[in-house]
Amino acid sequence: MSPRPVRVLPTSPRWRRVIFAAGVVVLGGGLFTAGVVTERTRAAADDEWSDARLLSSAIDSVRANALDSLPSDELIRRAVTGMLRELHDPYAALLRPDGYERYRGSLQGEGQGLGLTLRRQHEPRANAPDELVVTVARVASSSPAMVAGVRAGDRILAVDGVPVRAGWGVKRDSSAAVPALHTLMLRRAPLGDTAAVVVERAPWHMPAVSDQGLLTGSAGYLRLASMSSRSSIELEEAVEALVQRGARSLVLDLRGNGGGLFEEGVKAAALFLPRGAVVASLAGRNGGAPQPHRGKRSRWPAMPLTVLVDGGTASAAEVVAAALHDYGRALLVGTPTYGKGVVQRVVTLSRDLSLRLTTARWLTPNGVALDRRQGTGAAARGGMIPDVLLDDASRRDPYAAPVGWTAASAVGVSHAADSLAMYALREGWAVSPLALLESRLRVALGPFMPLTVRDPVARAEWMAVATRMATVRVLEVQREREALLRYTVREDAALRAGLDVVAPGAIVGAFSSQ
Amino acid sequence: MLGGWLLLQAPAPAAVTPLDAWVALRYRGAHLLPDSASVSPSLASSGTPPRIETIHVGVTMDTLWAVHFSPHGQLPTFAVPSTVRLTGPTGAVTPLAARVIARRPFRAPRVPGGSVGTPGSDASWRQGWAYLALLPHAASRNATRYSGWLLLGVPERAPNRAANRAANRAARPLSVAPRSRRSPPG
Repeated sequence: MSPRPVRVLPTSPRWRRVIFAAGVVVLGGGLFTAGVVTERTRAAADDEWSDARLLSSAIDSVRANALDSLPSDELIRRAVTGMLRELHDPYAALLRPDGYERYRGSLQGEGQGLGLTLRRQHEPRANAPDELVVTVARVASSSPAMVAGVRAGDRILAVDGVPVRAGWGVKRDSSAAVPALHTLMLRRAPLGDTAAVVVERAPWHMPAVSDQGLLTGSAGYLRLASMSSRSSIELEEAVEALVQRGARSLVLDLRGNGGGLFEEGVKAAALFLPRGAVVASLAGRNGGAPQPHRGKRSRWPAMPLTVLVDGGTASAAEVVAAALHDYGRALLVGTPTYGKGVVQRVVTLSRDLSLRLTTARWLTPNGVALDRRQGTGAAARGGMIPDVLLDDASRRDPYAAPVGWTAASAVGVSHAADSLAMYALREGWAVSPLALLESRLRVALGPFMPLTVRDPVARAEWMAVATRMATVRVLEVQREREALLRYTVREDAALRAGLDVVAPGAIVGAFSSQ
Repeated sequence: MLGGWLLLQAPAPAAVTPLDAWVALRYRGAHLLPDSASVSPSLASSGTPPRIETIHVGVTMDTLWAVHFSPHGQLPTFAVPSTVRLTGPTGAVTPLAARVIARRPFRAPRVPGGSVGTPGSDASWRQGWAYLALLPHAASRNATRYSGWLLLGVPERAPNRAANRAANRAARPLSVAPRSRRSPPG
């Protein structure tokens, strides 16, 4: 039995005419549509080109006719800057090579400068200008200054042969070349000998975890200062080290952390959340569904946690704080955060110019967009309101004199504390136990008290401040970072309040009720 | 008429003391607990003494708000009224004396939205005591510097009637309830 032939096309002339006519209609329609689309595209392109020509003509006209014109490239830069300003995007900017390098470096965690934290004091002198005393309070680890051997407690007498005096440290002309080598003349603590140290400017990595330690036997503290490219890894390593030493709860300090990379914030928060939890979502400009972002590593999803925040906590640091709060993992302690609920992208325009633009808004796990901060000072609105709202959560220099003291009083107590601290260091007074050191310093400070301080309350206060300053100086020079951290808990309202959450009633430092 | 009558029949809202308001504003989700006058203070409480957290400078008196958390914080540290001494954060006792005029036990969440009545919910809360103390104002000293200082209890000597009267006046609660009218509006 032969197979039946399959007819794929009608063969009658009538059907052929119908198919031909239909083909003609379809072809004609297609050509018409294509023509319309092409025409519209060309018209749109013409419009864009005409707009671009308009801008170009305006620049040409200004350059040719304006009384006080500028070079063409400068006019174009200023035109772009004006365009960005009209977007009312406070984070948009036109980046030149040096600005772009600084921005990229900050995101990569590249250290700026020599890695020194300096303490300045103006000492009044009779019939002469104030003397400026600059002391090294801290040297960042792996920084050029640390490599060169600068130590906390050193006093800087001169830089590159220029003596340190009033007016020193004013921002230099940015166009001037920065020397690769600096010679610092130092008076070294505690013996007071002088030394010249050569510090070479070189790229260095600024650690994201700037401070860490055990506040009590089981409560750890960790300060995450930035959200650069390795922050989450450094955070994980630091927490792991604290856990190995016995930490069972953690106070995570995000005060002053202005953020950085959004993805680092996601990874950092995920360490303390259940596996697969959505840390934040990004909502772009097209109005589509927000894109959820999850971290891959979950390490301590049940560790008791408190997060310290303040007005300087922004962007990716707020991502961490918001996620830990929304999942009920951590109480926020401090003052309202900055409220930067948007992310930026850098678009390269040319070899020399780049654009930084806000391209998306991020949402907390509960779907809340942190409003852009509006207003300034006390009238500012936006950000996250902490669960424990403090009057002031700022970090203070533990060596600072109390607010309201005169400059002369502050200098006097500082001199006394410094002299005694250097004596204690030369004599090798033991730092541990801290309470004993503090008691010895307090007793020894008695003769240093000025005779002009007669009021019993003022005498007690002078003694308290001098003891604190002397103890801080000893700990700084001895690089007893953890002891210093424990000691300064008492001067730090937010840290105390944070510790109250994870370890209520814990005794930290050398307090002893006398 | 009916609205006014109903308004008068509604129970008067509880009085809010400055100390209660301070606790409620400071600790989100905190529960104020009743303070029985019969609860005697325990000066032997563990941990650091109560700590001054907020200071309002006044004309004749400066007001200090202090808080105290302890692992076993069921007992208060101070009686009301009582005299306390201001102590620097380093433990240096000063001659400055303040008068504690009010106290309030409370519990505050340890995690956002601490759960109530669920197994293990005790771990979600911490027990604390808030104290309100008055310090004679001194124009020569800025009292705000005492933030972070500690309060130490001192044994009571002879009762100071004038100080007690001043303390009792200051401790009068701020009423948020509208003053009741003696007769319904006509």
